[in-house]
Amino acid sequence: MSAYTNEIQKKPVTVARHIMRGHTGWVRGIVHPPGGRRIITCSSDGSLRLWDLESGTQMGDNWRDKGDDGDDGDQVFAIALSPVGDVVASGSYDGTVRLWDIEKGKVITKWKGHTKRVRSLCWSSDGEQVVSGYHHGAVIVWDVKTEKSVLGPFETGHEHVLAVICSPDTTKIATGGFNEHAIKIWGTKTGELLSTIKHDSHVSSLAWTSNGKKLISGSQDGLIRIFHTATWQQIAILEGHQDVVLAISLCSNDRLLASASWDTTARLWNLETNLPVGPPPLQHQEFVECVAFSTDGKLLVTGSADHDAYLWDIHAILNDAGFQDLLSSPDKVYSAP
Amino acid sequence: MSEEQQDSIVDIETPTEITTNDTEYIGDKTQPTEEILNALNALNQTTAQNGHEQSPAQQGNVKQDTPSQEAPSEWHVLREKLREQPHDPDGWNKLVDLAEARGEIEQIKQTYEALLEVYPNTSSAQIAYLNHFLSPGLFPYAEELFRRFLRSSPLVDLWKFYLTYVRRVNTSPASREAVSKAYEFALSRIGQDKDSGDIWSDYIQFLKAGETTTTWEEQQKMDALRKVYHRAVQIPLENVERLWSELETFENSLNKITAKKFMSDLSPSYMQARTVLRQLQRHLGPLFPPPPASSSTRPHLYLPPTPTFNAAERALVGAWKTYLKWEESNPLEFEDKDKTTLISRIQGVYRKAAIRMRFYAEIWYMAFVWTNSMGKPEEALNILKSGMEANPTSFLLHFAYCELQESRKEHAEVTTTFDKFLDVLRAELDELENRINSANSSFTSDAPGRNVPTSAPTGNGLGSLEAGIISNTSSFATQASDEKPPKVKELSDRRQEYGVVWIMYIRFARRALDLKAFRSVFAKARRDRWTPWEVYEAAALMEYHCNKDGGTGVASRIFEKGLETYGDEIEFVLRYLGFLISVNDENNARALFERVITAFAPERARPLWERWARYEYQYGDLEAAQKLEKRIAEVYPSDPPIKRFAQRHTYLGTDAIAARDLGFAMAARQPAALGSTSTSNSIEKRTDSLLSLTSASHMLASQPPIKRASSPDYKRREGSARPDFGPPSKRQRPSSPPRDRDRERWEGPPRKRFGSPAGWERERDRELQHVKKDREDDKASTLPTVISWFVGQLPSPVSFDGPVFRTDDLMMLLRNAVIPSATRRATPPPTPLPPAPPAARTSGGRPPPDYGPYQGPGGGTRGGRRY
Repeated sequence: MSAYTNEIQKKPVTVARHIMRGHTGWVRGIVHPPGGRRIITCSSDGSLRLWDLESGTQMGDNWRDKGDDGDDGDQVFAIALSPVGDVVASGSYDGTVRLWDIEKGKVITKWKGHTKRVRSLCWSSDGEQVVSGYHHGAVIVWDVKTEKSVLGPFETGHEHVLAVICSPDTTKIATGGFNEHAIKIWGTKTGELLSTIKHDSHVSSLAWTSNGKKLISGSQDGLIRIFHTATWQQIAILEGHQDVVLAISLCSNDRLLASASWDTTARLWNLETNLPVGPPPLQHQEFVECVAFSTDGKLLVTGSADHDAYLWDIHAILNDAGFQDLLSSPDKVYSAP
Repeated sequence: MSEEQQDSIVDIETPTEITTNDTEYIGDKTQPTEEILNALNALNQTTAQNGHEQSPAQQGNVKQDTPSQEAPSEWHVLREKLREQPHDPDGWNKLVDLAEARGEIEQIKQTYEALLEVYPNTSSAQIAYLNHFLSPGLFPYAEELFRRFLRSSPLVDLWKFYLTYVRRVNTSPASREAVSKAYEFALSRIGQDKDSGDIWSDYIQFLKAGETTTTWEEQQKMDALRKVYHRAVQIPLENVERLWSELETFENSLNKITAKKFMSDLSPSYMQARTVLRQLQRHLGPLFPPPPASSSTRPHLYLPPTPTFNAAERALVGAWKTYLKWEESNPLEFEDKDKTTLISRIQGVYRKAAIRMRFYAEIWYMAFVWTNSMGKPEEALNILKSGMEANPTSFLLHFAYCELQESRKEHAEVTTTFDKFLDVLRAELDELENRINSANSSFTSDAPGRNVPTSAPTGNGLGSLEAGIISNTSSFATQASDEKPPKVKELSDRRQEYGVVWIMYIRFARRALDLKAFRSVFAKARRDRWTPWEVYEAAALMEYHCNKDGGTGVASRIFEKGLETYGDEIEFVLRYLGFLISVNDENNARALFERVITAFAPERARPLWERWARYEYQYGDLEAAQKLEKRIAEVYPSDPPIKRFAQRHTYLGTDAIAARDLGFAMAARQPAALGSTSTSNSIEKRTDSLLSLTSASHMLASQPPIKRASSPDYKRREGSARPDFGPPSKRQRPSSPPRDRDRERWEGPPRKRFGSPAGWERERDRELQHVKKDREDDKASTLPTVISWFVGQLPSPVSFDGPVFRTDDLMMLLRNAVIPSATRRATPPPTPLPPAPPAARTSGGRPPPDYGPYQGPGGGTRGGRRY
């Protein structure tokens, strides 16, 4: 730990490289399309927006789709990017899942769930399925090709499905939410409950490592827990956040984790050591709602309740902290990033 | 208790009105008062027994009426001034300072009572007032004040102050029950307010401090505590996070397993409360700016100022509306079973809004609409009453109240309200007139003092009136012109608005009562020297449309009667002429024309000539048409003959001669003509004649021709697009000098605005934003993207059926505007415009923005799109 404290003394508070202003509601989700130059955000203002990371400015108009009742569009609670990266799925208050063409900024198709308010979304790693979690506790697995529900809606027992994630081998779905302090693991084909992983408070965010070996959860008590997927045993707790962890994002090399919390910070975690990477955390003015690494892990974007999105230069931060090797792939640890 | 109490929470009412015999009120009055009394009495038997009979207000009045012996003090002088001009926040603060400096308790009472009459429910003043009575001997008076103030107060600081008092006078263990009741009562009223967190917290501490002797009592205490905690952590309170962690500790100390269950159950609501709190803070920040520093020990009393509708105030009222809409949208997501909580929450919010924004009728109206939609018509009515009391000249609130009462068949009440409203407006007009007269006696003869018609129109055969026909509610000043000072213009506008009230009154009488009532209202209007001609026209048209049995004759007689009074008002004469033409009364129409045409100077008479010519050209014989054209040529010798000829050969605004023979259609298709002087020169030369040809009413004859390739309205002249039947619409009336008139047109109410209330709201807000933006952009030169978008959305010029703008005025506007250099197609051309003639500058300047359509760069592009 002393190494970190030395780092703090040298280093002033980390500042964001860009603050992307424009949304008029909380920023609820962020995805990085391939290429590393742009991001898409969604917000409770009802819009999706495309941003240029180089300049930190919005590209083109807001993406909006009229709700069924002719509204200007409902709050968008979640977005998820297809594995290929050409389509983004959004889930909104009216209960509709929409697929957007990223280049055109237009809706390709939309699927109406049986209930209002999509709270969480994920895309299966093969790109064939989209899983949506709803406010009232249901989950639906959609087939992208047929645009039909292939599983569900089935009730999870959660009050709000705040987090939903597919296992990399596409066989399982993990959910978290209010009611029942636990992660629930479901079979993708049958919808049968495979396991319940108990927590001390509600689970609000989930991530699955790309090798499928670890499942990571963020929860209301501010703790981040890591479980071994073979046994569902807890193998680590990451302590630091003072408030609910609303989102976590894994760097594609599975070695670095970012977390966003209502304690107004985002934090970086070294998953080799399960320790924080060089405090201070990334400080915000307001709740941090969402967080997402770029594909190469060099950039991180956070979204906040102050309506802004923040771009952080992770490469520089890690360099300063002496952790630059965390960005390299596990098999190339010794080559410079 | 809570549910009944929710229902009993009523209105935004001034204390005086609470004594009205309204059922809602009785509920509101008795129950809470009892609660308070319980709380107070239990603690302080003695004081409550010898409570004052006389209300403080009465005491104050008695004092006031006693003539002062000594020379008037500064306080007295100021007090008198405030009686005359009550809406003066600084004056009231000063008056309080003076009274408190002197320290005479009766004067302090009078001061605060008077202040609270003008600004009811001002908690800062109430607290400052109460502070003078918080020594034990004066408790009865303080309690009286509490009872009076708390009844209708939605403000946390007053309730907090009250609870402090209750705690102070109730220190014995025996009185715990009363204190607890007082807390419950307060929380039922203001417990949803985000600033009530301290009260929740105090209440919890109070409950925790309770001593128990048995396990059962201990159990009771824990249950009570849990209940309060559980209520509190679901409310977006400023300290909700601290209360949550306290609750967690509390539950864990009792039972770790049930703790988990409880916390888990509460989590969603708690998280929602925290989410909403953040949004709430954002909304409320700008609505409650920190008060200015106070010079005395007493904090500055914030008293709502009278609106001037400057940019900051418009932004403020906009922010309030956004906030109120947001509260209405149920951000906390109360379910149906908790509807009473939701309603009481929104009620509290509206009450606060009506205190803080007391002089914005719009806010009262929103409160009324919402309350009515909640199925509380009595309460909604009371809101309107209070709103009218605060805003005695509000058209919005009076019209809303009258309509509501009409629908309830309370016809006497409507009549009284209209009469009272007209009295207030009349007094306003008198006062304005006096000010003008004393400022400049040279204008007195002209402005309002037209003779009161001495003889009424014939009474027989008057039919009923029609409701929807009156289109001329906009305020076009017929007499105002550039030469008159703005005050006279203001008087003319006020008078026209006054006429609208008469017309609404007549409309009500016609549809809700009977012929007799309608005619007697109109008779009253005729005896009123402020009644503008529009009332005559409205009454005449009502007779015409609604009285199928001889109504036409009655209508003609009303017009004829009006002519005695308004014979010099070209607009009225035009209306009368239009009416006669529309009812096919050719002889009388011709007679009227010949009778009045000599009464107006040529520069004013042109619309009359045009109106009559249109009739003659269309329906008369060729000889008559040529004869008329010749007469016109004599009156307007500078008009090009070809123009007069062309005028005879147009229909519904299609001027084929101008378009084809004179090349307008071609010229209009040449976009380069605008941007580059070299190419446009030839066209300009050509269009000199074109423009002078097209319509002289588009410009003053003396003005130099406008060097501009095409005019957006060359095709659609004044009123020419309208059929010759039916009375001309308001926008056809070109009586006042064109510049002024068009300026009014810019200011006039935008068309197509009243689609739906919601849409109207939105549009209105947007307009305000635009206007604001426009102001800000006066100096800058970026076209806001929203404007670009808007311009792109405009329908094709062909579909345009709105008002027709004068080219030269439009040019003037563009000249005076800072035009962005962005090269969008829709953007008006930036440079090669000739300098504005000096005369035009005086009338120039941007019109005031409030109700007008957007007038910035985007406005100009309406024409620009043609190129």
